[in-house]
Amino acid sequence: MNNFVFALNIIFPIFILLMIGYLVSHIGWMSKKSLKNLNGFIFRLLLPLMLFINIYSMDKASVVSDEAIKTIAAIYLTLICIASVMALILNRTTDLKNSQKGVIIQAWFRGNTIIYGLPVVLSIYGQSSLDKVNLVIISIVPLINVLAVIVLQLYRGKSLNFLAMLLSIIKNPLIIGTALGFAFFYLNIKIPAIILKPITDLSKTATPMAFIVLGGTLELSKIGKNLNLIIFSCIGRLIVTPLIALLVLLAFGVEGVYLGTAVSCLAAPSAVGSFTMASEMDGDADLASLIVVISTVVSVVSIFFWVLVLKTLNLL
Amino acid sequence: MDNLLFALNVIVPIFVLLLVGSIARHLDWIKITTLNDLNRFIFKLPLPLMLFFNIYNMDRDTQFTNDSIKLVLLIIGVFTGIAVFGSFILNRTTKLDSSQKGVLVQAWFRGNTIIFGLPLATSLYGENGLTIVSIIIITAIASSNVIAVILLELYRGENIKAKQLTISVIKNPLLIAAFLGFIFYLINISIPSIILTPLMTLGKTATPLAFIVLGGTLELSKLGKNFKLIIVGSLGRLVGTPLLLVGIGWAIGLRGNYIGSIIAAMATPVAVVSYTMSREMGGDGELAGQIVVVSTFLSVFTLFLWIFFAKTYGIL
Repeated sequence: MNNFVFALNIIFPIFILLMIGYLVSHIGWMSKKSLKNLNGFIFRLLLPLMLFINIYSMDKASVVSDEAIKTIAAIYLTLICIASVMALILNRTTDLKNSQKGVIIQAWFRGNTIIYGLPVVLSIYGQSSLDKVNLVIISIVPLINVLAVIVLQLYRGKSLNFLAMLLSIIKNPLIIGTALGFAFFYLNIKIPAIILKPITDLSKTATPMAFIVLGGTLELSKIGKNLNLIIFSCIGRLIVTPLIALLVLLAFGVEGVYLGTAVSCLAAPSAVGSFTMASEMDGDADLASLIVVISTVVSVVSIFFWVLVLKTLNLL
Repeated sequence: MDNLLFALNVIVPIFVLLLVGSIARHLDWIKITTLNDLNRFIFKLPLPLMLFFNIYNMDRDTQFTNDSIKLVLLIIGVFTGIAVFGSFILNRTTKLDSSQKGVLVQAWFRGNTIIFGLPLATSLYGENGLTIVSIIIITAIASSNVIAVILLELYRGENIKAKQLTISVIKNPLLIAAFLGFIFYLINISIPSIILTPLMTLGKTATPLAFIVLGGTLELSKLGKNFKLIIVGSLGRLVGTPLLLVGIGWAIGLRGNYIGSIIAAMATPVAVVSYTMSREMGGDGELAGQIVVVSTFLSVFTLFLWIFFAKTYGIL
């Protein structure tokens, strides 16, 4: 029961922001056109800034244990395989549009790590565990962003040669944000506080504004048409991916708090950024936004189930 | 020298945000129509939320001494006096547009209390010396918002009757927020965290986004046209109003830390929200934005002089 209440505590704030976005758009405070343009701004500036700041402010002292590396390796392997295999399956067996395929694959591997995964981990293991698993959580974020850029770019429809494709991936704002973050982190470049503070403040507007835009552009009437795809994506996101990850992690010999952290993060509902990105990169934005909303609703039940599984496995 | 550095530390972050807004606009990441819509949104929601939480989160332990009551009355009195006499003088002696008069008078009393006043006071008095400053800040925020709403509504130009004026003032989002904030504070209504969290997150987007909008819409080439008004607005804010507060404060018997805190919290540049609000309420938005930027820039020198003056006379 506690887990259930806990999950509600995470998703309720998300729905308040979505609802505000819906109201803002329907009262006419912001036009659809402006929301769409704002989405571009979030994609080009706010999200990359957020990624950059996340990576830049990683704690150098956070424990780089063998266990953490093993966990990260298992997660990377799982997510990359899921993305590749899903692409293969969808290409072979369906006649979906490219714009839909990209979004579905993205939904399978891209969960809401920071907003959803992190609080779940904190509530299960407490603040003190964060030192141990911080690295694991932080490492998931750049991977899923880079993967998402690649997938969405590959399905963008224009048939590009390899070089042009590579170039378009490298030029993506999120890739640039990630790369700069790592560069600054590894080269130990310190940004003066007077510049770091305003861009950090700005980066914090990314998530609430992304939810506002999503809420303002959401077309619930399109659920029916997309129902099968939405269900398929949500099952992938909330059940199949964490399950595969659990098995791979066990095979890698990952256990305890590391295993619990990885599963909690990978069982999170679809990230709002996947809507922002799909919309800017010619993916099916309506489908992406519905997947975010519905997987978030369903996660109340699924996260409950996952915590139960972890308890049964004596992992908590 | 330290004082100069300190002032720079506060204003550089602001100029970083203005610059980001300007760059985003010129790279066409965000369109002018979107910035206009975003401004309306900030005015309708994040800004009122910010004001609400400022009041709602007021410290309950504050002891009201005779001197602090004097301080509250001083600020409300001086702000009201500036609004009344300032309007009177401008109406009698100048041929300015109504839209300019409102903006000019607003600039005189409406300072950037949170962004400037609080850090400055913290650096002068330390985290524990902020009791007096908090009283000043909350009084200044609440009263300057209320007075600004009435002032801009009066200068909106349409010849409206008292009843309509009252209605439009009461319907102003900032007034509603201030009113609700006091109600919630006084009745001690505690908001559940699942509602509090998303609303506070949204409230925190107000300031950075307001600066982005200002940076994106500001046209420096037009500074010349309004030069005199900008200077009058800025110096009134940075020198005139603080002088009045200090002078009258001294006359009614305030000394020492009270005078020092007034300088720290009140000798600040014009608040960015005066731009946000002017635009939404029929004021000369361009002029308001220019005064914000120029007064912020000039504050480096005037703050330096104020602190120097205060130290010389043993107030700080």
